[in-house]
Amino acid sequence: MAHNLPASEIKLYVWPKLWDIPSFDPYSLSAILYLQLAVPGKFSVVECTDPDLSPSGQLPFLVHGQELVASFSSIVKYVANLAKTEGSTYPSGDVDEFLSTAKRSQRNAWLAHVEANLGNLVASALYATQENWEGLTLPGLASLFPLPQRYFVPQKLREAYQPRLEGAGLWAHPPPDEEEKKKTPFEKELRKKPTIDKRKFLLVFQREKFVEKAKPILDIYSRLLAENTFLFGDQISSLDAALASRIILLLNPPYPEPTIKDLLTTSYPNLVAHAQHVQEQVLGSNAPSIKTESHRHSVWSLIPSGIFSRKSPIPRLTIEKTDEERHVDRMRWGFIGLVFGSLCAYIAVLGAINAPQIRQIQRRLAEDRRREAGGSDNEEEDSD
Amino acid sequence: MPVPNPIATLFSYFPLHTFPPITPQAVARDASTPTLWIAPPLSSPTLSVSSEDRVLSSDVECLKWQAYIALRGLKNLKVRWDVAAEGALEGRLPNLHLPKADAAKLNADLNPTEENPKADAEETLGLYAARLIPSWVDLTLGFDSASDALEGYKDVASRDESRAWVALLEGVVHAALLISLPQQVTLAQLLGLGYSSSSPSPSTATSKPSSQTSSTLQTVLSPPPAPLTGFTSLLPSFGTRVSRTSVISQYVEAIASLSERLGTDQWFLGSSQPTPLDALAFAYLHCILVHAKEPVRVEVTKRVNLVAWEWRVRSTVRGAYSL
Repeated sequence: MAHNLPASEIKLYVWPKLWDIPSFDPYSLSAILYLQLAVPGKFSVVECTDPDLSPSGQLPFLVHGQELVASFSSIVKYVANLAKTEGSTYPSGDVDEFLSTAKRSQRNAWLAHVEANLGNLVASALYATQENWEGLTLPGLASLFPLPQRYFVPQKLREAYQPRLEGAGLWAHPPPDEEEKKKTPFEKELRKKPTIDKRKFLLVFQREKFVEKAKPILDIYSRLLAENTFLFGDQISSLDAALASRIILLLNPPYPEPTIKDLLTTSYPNLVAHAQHVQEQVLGSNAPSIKTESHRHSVWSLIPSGIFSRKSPIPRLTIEKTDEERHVDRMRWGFIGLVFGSLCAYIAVLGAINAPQIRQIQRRLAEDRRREAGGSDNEEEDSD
Repeated sequence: MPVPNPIATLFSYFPLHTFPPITPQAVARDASTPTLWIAPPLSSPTLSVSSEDRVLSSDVECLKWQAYIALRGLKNLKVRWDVAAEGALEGRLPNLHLPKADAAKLNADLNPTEENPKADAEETLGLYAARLIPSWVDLTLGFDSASDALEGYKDVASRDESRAWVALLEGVVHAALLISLPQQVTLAQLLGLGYSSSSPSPSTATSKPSSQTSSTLQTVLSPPPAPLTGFTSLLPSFGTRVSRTSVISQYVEAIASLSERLGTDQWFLGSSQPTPLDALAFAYLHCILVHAKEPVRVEVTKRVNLVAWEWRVRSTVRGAYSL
C-alpha cells in the first residue's frame, strides 16, 4: 500500500485579528511572535473562532502533521524539540537555546508571572472595565463570529475571566443605575439640593484601584528589563515575546477608558520601547510575511463537541490503492449488488408466479363481502 | 375583653408550656496558648499520616501560614480542626485564636490611636483572620517586617523573582495538586444540603470536577479553562474542561525548574533566612508528597533536593505545634 502523506506544514490556530493586531488574545499573539522567531516563513496562521477544536478547549493550538499541541508553553516546548529532531528543516526552533539551565528555570517562573499577573491586567482592560467592554471589546468580538454565535459567545468569553479577575480584585462592577426618584410633595426642594453623582465617584474609585493594582506589577518588569534591550541581555527569548504581546494589547487597542494605556506611556517608557522593538523585529517590514488563512466555520460548532466528535483539524490521510485493492473493491461492490439484485428478482418472480392466485383470493373476498352486505339488507327488509 | 367561657374551656385542653431560654455555649473559650484553627489533616488510605504529622493541615493555605509562623521562629502553638471554614472569620481558615493578654496587645498595636478600644465580638474572642498573622508575629518577636524593604530576600532582584515563583506555585502547581487529590463526595453535597469544606473536595468523576474545584481551577489556571459545554455551543456554560495532559506537562516543567532553582541552597533564592516563599513552597511540596496521587507525587519524589529540603523544613514546622 503506497502512502502519500501530506507535507508536514505547521499550522497555528489562533483567535483572529482585531485593531491591527495579529490577534486580540495575548496567548495567540505570543504564539505568533514566537513562531516568527523560531520558524519564520515555515508556518501558517489559521484565524479561527472555534476554540472547541482545540484539545484543551482554548486557543491557540498547533497542528503539525498528526500532532496537536495546545497552550503556549507546550507550543514553545514542541517547536524547540523540532530543532533537535528536524534540525535541518527548523534550525532555529529553540529560541531559548542560549539560556543556561538556571536561566531557563527562571524563564519558566517569569512566564507564569507574565501569564497570571500581566494577563490579568490585559483581561481586565478588555473584559472587566464596563466602558471598554461595551465600547470596544463586545463590538469587536461580535464582528468576528457568525450568526447566531455573535450574540452569546463574547459574553461566555467574558464570564470565563470573571472569577479570576474578581479574585484578583480587578473586576469593575458596573455602577448602579440611578434610582427612580419617587414623587414627593417636596420634589421642588429636592431639585434645589445639589445631587452627588455616585456613578462618577465609583468610576474614579475603580480607576484608582486599577492603577494601584497595576503599578507594582509593571514596576517589577520595568526593573527586570532595566536598560537592557531584552529581558535576558542582548538576545530575544520566548519571555520577551510573552511580555511584548501583553504590552502591545495594553497599548494598541483604542480603549474608550485609557487608564492603563496612559499609565504605560507616562510611567513605563522602557516597557513600551521593548514592546515596539519586539514588534518591529518580529512583525516589521524586514521580517518574513506570515501566511494567513481563515478557518471555515461549521454549523456543527453549535453542538458540544463531546456529543458528536465531528471536529478535527487534523487532515485525513489520502492513501492510493494498488490495482489488486481496486479489483477487490470492485468484486466486493459487485457481490453486494448481486445480493440485492437477487433479492429483488426473487421477490419479483415470486410475485409474478403467485399473482393469479392472489387475484382469485381477492375476488372471493370481494364476493363474500357483497353476499354479507346483501344478506343484511334482506334481513332489514323482512323486519320492516 | 375577657375570653368567653366555652373558648377558655376549649383552650384549657391545649395548655401552653413555656420552657426556659437556651443560651448558646461559647464556641471559642479563652485560649491559654495561641491556637491556630486549621483545616483537618487528611488521612488517605494509601498513605498513613504519622501521629507527629497530624498537626500539619492538609490545606495548602492553612499549612502555608503554619510554616510561616514556625519558620519565623515561634513555638509552642496549638492547633485545632474541629471548626469548619464556614464558622471561621471571613469564611476561611486559618484563624488565629489568642489568649486575652496577647489579644489586648495586638488590638492596641493595630489600633494605636484608640485610647479605649471598643470591645466588639471579634476582639472579645481574641480571634483574628489570617491576614493579621504577620502583625501578631512581628509583635511577638519585637520586629517590624514592614520596615525591611527586601522582605528577607538578599536583594531587590531576588524579591522580584520571588513574585514569579509564587505565581508558578499558585498557578500550574496548584492546578496539578487540585486534579490529583483524592476525590470524595457526600450525599449531603450531592443534594446541595451539606457544607463544602475549605479543601478541594468533590466529585468521583475525575473528568468533571465539582463546582468548588472547577471554580478554584478557573481562578488558578492561565488562561481560565473553557466550559465543558464549549464556548461556541448553544448550551449554557457548565462545568470545566481541563486538559490533564497539558496541566501535568506544565507541572513537570515547573517542578524541574523549582528543583533547579533550589539547587543545594538552604533556602530558596539563596536567602540566609527563611522567607514567605519558603513557607509557600513547603506547603505545596508537603501536600504533594503526602496527599497527591501519581504522577504528580512521583515528579517531586524524583527530585532528591526537594524531598530532602521538605523533610528538613517539616521537622521545624512540626516542632512548633502541638495538639
